[in-house]
Amino acid sequence: MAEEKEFQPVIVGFFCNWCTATAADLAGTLRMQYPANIRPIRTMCSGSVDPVYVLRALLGGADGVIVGGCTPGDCHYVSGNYKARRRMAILKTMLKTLGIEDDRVWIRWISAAEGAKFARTMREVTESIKKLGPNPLREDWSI
Amino acid sequence: MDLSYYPGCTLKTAAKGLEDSAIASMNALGIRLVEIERWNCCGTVYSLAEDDLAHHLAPVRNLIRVKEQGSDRVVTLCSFCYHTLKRANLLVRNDGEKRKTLNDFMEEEVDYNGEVEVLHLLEVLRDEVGWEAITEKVKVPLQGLKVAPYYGCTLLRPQDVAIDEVERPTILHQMMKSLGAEAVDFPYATECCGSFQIVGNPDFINQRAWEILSSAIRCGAEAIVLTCPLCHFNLSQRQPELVKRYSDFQGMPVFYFTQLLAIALGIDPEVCHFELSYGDPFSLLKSRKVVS
Amino acid sequence: MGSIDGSIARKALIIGGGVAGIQASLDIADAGYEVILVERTPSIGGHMLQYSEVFPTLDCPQCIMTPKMVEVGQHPNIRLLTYSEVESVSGKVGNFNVRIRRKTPYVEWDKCTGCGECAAVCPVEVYSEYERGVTAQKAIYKPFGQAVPAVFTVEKRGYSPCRVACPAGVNAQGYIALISQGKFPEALEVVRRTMPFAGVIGRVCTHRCETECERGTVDEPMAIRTLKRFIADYELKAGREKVTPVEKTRQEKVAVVGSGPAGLACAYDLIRKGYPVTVFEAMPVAGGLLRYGIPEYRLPKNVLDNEIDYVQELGVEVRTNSRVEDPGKLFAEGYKAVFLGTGAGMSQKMNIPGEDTPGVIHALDFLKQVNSGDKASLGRRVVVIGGGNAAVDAARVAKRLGADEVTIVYRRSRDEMPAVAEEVDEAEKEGVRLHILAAPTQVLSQGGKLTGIECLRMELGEPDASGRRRPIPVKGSEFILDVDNVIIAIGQVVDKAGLPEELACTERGTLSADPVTFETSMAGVFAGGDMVSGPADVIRAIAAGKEAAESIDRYLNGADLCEGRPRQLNKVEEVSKEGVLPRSRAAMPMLDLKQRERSFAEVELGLDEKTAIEEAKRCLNCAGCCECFSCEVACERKAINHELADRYEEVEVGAIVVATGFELTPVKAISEFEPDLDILDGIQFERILCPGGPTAGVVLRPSDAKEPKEVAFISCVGSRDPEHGVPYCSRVCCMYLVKQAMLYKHAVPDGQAYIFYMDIRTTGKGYEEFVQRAVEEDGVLYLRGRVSKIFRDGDKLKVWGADTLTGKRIELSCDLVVLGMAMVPDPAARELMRILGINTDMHGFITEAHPKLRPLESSVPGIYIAGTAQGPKDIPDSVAQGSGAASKVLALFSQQEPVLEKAEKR
Repeated sequence: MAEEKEFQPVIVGFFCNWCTATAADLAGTLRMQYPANIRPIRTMCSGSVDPVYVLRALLGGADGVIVGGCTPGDCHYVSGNYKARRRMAILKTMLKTLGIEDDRVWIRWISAAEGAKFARTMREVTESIKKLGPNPLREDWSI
Repeated sequence: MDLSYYPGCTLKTAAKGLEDSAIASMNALGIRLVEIERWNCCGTVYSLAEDDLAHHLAPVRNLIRVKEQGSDRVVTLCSFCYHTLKRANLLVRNDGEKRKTLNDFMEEEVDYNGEVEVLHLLEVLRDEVGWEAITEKVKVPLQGLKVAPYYGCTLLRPQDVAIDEVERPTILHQMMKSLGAEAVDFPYATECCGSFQIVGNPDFINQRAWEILSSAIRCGAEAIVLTCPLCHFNLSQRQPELVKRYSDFQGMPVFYFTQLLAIALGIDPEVCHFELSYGDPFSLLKSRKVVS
Repeated sequence: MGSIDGSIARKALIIGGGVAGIQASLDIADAGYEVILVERTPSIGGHMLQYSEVFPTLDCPQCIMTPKMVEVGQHPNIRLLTYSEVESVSGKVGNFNVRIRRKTPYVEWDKCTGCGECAAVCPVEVYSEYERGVTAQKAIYKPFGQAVPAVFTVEKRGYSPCRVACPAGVNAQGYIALISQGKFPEALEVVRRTMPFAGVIGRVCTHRCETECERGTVDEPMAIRTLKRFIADYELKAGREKVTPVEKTRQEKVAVVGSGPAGLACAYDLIRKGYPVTVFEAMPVAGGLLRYGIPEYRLPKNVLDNEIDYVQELGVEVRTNSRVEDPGKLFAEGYKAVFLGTGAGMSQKMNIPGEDTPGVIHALDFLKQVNSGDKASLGRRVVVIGGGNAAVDAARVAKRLGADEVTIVYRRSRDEMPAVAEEVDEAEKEGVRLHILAAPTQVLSQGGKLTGIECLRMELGEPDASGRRRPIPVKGSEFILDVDNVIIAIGQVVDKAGLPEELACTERGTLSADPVTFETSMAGVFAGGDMVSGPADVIRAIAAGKEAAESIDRYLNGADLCEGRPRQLNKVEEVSKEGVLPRSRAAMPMLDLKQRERSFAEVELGLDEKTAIEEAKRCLNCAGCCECFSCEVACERKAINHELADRYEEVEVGAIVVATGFELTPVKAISEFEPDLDILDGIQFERILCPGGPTAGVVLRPSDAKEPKEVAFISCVGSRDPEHGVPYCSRVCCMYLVKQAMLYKHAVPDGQAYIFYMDIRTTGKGYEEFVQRAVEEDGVLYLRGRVSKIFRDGDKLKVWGADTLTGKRIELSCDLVVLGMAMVPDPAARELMRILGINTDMHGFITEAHPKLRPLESSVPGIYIAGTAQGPKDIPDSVAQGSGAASKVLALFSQQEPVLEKAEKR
């Protein structure tokens, strides 16, 4: 019987420049280990993450998406992260109707000093998506 | 060796146990405590008022007695006497004007210029005899009896009369160790027992004594050892009241440091006058097989 | 006087890489001038980098500072010299000549990438200045993640006492540190760097190291010898692979006479330097007294064989049954240098009547016989004369051979017996009787058969030349012991038969050799071991062999024999034992007494793995880095070099800015607060609050890692306290304590924070509002009063204070206490002030030229001040002063010549 390779999810991360991306840098400086399933994309603010980007990622075959921003109250652009939160909340309700588990999209607040939290969160999202399995759209569509 | 000894009032009455056991122990250690003649009450409290010189007449007169009797050192047992005499001595040594006034006033006495050194017996035990020498003379080791050394205030404050480090004194600890007992640390070791508040505010003393004693019990002590007759009064003689008021308190034996010294040196327990202490401290010693 | 002539060196020196120093550097560099920034620690950043969030904005200080730090590191005009100190300054404003000591980090920083593989394998943990004791760091460390420069540094404090005490210089700390990590083969490697006899020495050494061990001042010394034996046995049990022979890169042949420890150690060092070495041994098998003297139950032959084989596998040729008497002949055979290590293998005679009676044996001959496998026959009753190891060995061997009554007769007291104390104890346990204070007068026989020995009682008189009390015979106290055999073990002497006359001897009958170089009176002939010293211990012989090898190497290279010898090792001075809890030393399991009867099975059984690792963990790591070289092996860039030395640099600068910062007075200075793990100073609590800190920002208390639900913050500890501390106000504590209270509440929302205060000093911008926020939004409770005592009561800390506003005493039961300690100028900079010649006030803060109008100029023109070195202040003020000092420097640099009010010539 052919050996089944363990499912390695592809997770796209939209990380805000001022906080979460810097936390990612710090995790690197501190040599913290976390899974390589994440494809990080640096945006200036979590509030600049258009929900369409998230959908694009999922339609492109990503098994999960995580948006990382500054902690509430500390957004570099004052209120961008609040907007991100509202958008992602609405997007998740839409995903359910599209037949995609809404738990595939995460939004987390990771400040620049929290390198350890960043690494931990990446581990958590990878584990969670692994349990959910591959993106269901892959079965229906050839993506 | 002879050493001039100033007893003070309480040592002849309520604190007889302290005196007799001290004299007997020191004899066994080769030091004769020679009571000075014609001594008077030390005045009990050192007056803090700047212009209350009359109050200092009493202690200074005692020091003159010592000087007259040809000695340059005097040892006391009572913490209050020690404190009062020592501070009056410092006043005479450091303040020329007041010294002159005192000497002029006491024209019938010889002039006193601070020639006498005031010592507490604990200092003599630590510095002249030495703990190792005492351990060598111990005939009845105290079998690891758990005693909490209680220092009180007047031996340690203010800093210029303190016989040991103010916050973390060890002199009584070391003495207990040298006698074969185990010294138990507890947080109230240097907290005031309430002193003369017993006269006007006995409720406060009850509270205070209970705090001190129960803290020692919580830390594992079987008994308290102390040096001062007033502390002894507040902590030992008040115990019947405490037993009545605090249901979880059953009493705790209180020893003078010289009583334990005398027992350890194998001297007849009679000199300790245990009948003057509350409860029966002697029973504790019997039950721990220190004495038969 | 007017202006000073001379051009200005338009280069600035900034001393201190905290926020003030960094600001000053950037301002001056941005203006186009060169800056040299000198920082004492391996990274810039200062105290600000230790905090979690700064008031009143609650910015993350690492986030706002690191861009500036990186800018400093990369600025074309800034030369960053970290881990460096100013040694001396001369000159005057415009032309200061400064000598800077670049302390060696033992890592080549231009190669280091900061990858951290070295720290991962380092077995030693040391106090971390950055973490301030909340956690430890490794001996090779990067101070924190965002360090600039992002490189590693090795902390060495000198040599550990064990290493200094060992005559051969075995690195005890090194192998013990590796054992504590379970790295047994690596540990054995460390020993083999010095000598090949881990198993032998691990059994028979007199362990001078253990006498010096600092752990001994806490409870008991480390079991250094036993741990060495453990790693040797571990390899032996698993089976050792053959070692590759060393490539012989030298032509000159060296001869070693004698295959005892001295000879073999000498050969070992020489072969590793590439010399062809031949060892000549008179006996049939190699090993000297290790084989023929020490009995099997103390040193099993297979252990010795294994280690001698190791030496031979490296390429040393050992020729047994080859007696050499005249070293001169060896030169004729082509050897270029000779080492003599034939020991002191002859027994000393007692010179008493009857010594020649059959049945009288000399201990060394007896032991040689038994160790050769020959059966020695003894009678039922045996007496051994002497008190050294040979006597005790002979006695215990006699017991094992079947003698019922074995007695040791020694002329002094038991305490003065030179034998190892543990050996004497075991001998007695095995049934050997000790007859002290007695000496034999004659051997008795009847019809040619030994019947007994007559002895005389002794008493001890005054000390003799050796320092031991002289035994004085007690007249008329003769007594007789009925025995079948007498074994004499009163001393060993050198067998001088056949030695050439040119070899000078000492008065004591040993060979004369230089104590440092081990040269003898014959050119090219070196000697060491018992042959030179008289009977001594094995490790001393090994040390002699090693030193002789060094001499031979220098001799054959025509180099000076004495240069740099003897090697001075500076012992580490102070070893902190704070927080070390007493734990007893691992006990050596011993063979049951019943099983020892008639058996030569090894008596000391050795430790098991678990016990060995536990024992190794007791080591205090006195020297910091233990020089195990695990880091060197792990570093793929080969950036680590433990031989690197400090470097010195001379620079010429026109202006100096002193920004050396502050320290907090230590918590232990306050005697009213009982020392406790849960009483912290502000910076320690910052580390716990910091999201990048050791607890990742989760607030846990040090004693039991539980979340504290009640925290007391105490202001003015040591400040405003002329009697026990400093009289001044430290200015920032009110703000940082309330900030910490707020951050604590953010992290533990159901916790309660109390602040004891005398006043609330919130003079900066936004500060008052900050305090109001703390009280209104975070429920921080302010108590106006001081604290008189803090002590532990079980799980809690009791805080006794006062609330002056209600007039009542307060007793709080808290889980954690944070103290606002007084701010003082950094004590590490005290010497620097003297070097610079600038005035400081009685507290050590730098004195300004005028307190109101010239706050940034020191008493010396050209030397400017910035930051907390001048006085307590917060971060915005430090930054402002940094820029201010920079402007002073730039003003100086824009002049043609320095123009001053008063000219100062240094």
